[in-house]
Amino acid sequence: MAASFRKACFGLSFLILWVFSFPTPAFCHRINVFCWVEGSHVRCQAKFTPGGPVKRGKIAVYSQQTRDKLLTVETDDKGEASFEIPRKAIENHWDLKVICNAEMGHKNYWIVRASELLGTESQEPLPEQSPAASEPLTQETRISDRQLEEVVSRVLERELAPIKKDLAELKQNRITVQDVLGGLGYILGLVGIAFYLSGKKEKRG
Amino acid sequence: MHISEGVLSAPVLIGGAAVCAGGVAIGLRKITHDEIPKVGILTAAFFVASLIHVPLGPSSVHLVLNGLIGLILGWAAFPALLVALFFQAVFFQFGGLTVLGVNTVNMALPGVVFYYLTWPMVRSDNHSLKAVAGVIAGAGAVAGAGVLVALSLFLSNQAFLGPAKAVLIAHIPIMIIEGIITAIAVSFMKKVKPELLGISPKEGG
Repeated sequence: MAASFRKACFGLSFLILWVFSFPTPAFCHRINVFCWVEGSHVRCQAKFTPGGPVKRGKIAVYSQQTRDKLLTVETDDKGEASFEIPRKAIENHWDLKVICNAEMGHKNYWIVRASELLGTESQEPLPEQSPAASEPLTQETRISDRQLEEVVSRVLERELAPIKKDLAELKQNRITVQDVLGGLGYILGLVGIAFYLSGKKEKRG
Repeated sequence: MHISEGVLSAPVLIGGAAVCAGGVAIGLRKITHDEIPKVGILTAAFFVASLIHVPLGPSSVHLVLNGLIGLILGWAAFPALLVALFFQAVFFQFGGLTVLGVNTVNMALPGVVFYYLTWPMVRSDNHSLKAVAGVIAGAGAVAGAGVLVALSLFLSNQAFLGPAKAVLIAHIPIMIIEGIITAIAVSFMKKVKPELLGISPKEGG
């Protein structure tokens, strides 16, 4: 008896472990996708709200202006994906609409503005300074303005990436206590209206 | 469980809205003056239940409660869930306004179906039978909602078997939890306040 009980317990715990080891938390209601620009790439993160990353979610990138599909990528196990900014988008000043499609009818999108893309992609050659105008430099310290700009922007990008990510995350709608209380208040109000109408009907009847 | 905007095709959305309107009309007619607070409270419960997350293993699950609501309200589950889903869409961005009809049908219809299926068992004097009725209604309504979600996606020209399997597997934990909670709730209500289940106190014992 005790042995069979133990067996049943073991079986049950195994089942529960198996069930909870599934990668897709499908118990959520919404997915959030947000993107930020990092150098020549756009990085995206897709999350279930709440529940964790969207693993192997399909991300499709469209031009917001022409509705053309530019490319598709898949998120990794952390729910992250990254793609190179399409040349066409920069040339035509397109906003990018990044649509993430997870299983079971969950879908959401994020718009990457053309200004964000252009900001990091200004690759126009800088006017070369004439060597005579600058101070004579030794061979080791001689860095052209162009190289300097590249180094600075690379460092800045690295430093700013987490901040950009946080900002993108902050832009999303969050559920606040006010939302919950507001909804409950409305429901209470509807109950009041229902009472009023039904009372009126009963009086008449 | 909440299907997002822009996933389903127009015929599915319109069909869902029509079925929902029918269900709401029947439900509204069945609500008596004294039942209004009950409907209101369960609407509020459904509105908030999806925010309560139980961390289980690496993911978290939340309550759906459509089985319990169906069992207590019967057809009145339609107007109750319509209102709750409307406020969830407005305040939390779960689902959406165009998918409101489909989402309401997906959650309320299984509740009503299991209300009729388990009704004789709920009325019986046998305590274990009552608990079994709760388990069946709680777990079955979640599974039914999952199947209807998959069906909605299928009718919008998406694969059926894959999403259906994914939905059902992902909801096994919540089916177990809802089954247990509904069983406890039914046993408790029958003991303390059988009128909630539509049973006169004498019948309930």
